[in-house]
Amino acid sequence: MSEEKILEVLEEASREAEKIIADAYRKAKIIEKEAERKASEIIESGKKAVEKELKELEKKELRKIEREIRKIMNETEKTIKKLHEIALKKREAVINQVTETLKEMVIGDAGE
Amino acid sequence: MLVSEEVKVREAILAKGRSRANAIVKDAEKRAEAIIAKARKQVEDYRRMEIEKLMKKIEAERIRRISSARFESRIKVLEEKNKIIDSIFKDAVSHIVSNIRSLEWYPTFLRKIASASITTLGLKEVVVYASKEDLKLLMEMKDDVIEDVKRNLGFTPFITFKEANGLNIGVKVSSIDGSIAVDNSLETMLEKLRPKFIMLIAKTLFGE
Repeated sequence: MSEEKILEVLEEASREAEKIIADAYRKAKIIEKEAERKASEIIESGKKAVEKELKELEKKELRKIEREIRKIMNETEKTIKKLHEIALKKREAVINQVTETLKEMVIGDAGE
Repeated sequence: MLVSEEVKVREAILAKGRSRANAIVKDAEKRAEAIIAKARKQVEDYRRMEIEKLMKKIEAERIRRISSARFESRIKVLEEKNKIIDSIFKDAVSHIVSNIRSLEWYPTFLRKIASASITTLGLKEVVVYASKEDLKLLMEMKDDVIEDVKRNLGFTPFITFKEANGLNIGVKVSSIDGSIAVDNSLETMLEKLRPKFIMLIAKTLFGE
């Protein structure tokens, strides 16, 4: 084979190799672009999912607060019920005490 | 160079090219993985931050609403206590007004409020108003009343007893011309003593 022919073969092989590398660069670009597209998609859908999760979480936490408030109100009602029971139980004794105090205020402890 | 050598060289060049190409693609794949991992981390960071923000907001809301509910609860309990105390005070007044005459100490009570009313007025001549029933009692204790006042004021008062319409229990004492008077009807007395009785009822009922 002549030297010229050898160079021709080598150049051709080099061109082919360069083409393979250029193809790889194109493929790499496509891969990166695809990754960026996927990343945007992940961010977009991720944010949407987070927004949904936040809404659910907010609802759940607000329901917890509502439950706490209802508990306080139920306790209040129980306390009020208890107050009425005490009043009913002690009513007569209190009236007698008021009467007795009135007597003490006007005529003194021992009376006359 | 032989044909077989030419092929070998050619293959070597191409193999190098392919190897470089593979490395380029592998690098790209690694970068792609990194881009995706970064995006996932970005989402995760966003999620963590937003949840933290939301929880802070909810905690502030919780504190505000729970405090408000507790305050409302305290007010409600306090209002209910006041209602109960008021109702028992009214019951006590009604009970006293209805039953006081049947109590053994009532005559002394009447005498004391008559003496105290005359003493408060401090005049030598007064008119004591009372109901027909009380008037009868007061007339029976007239000397005692005069003695009480004499002890308090240092002189003997001249007392005129008169029946007063509309006066149920207790006395009203006035000057002869009616320009000054002391109202010690039982209802007025109880109303004047209301703050003391309210405190007494609150303490007895709820220990306050």
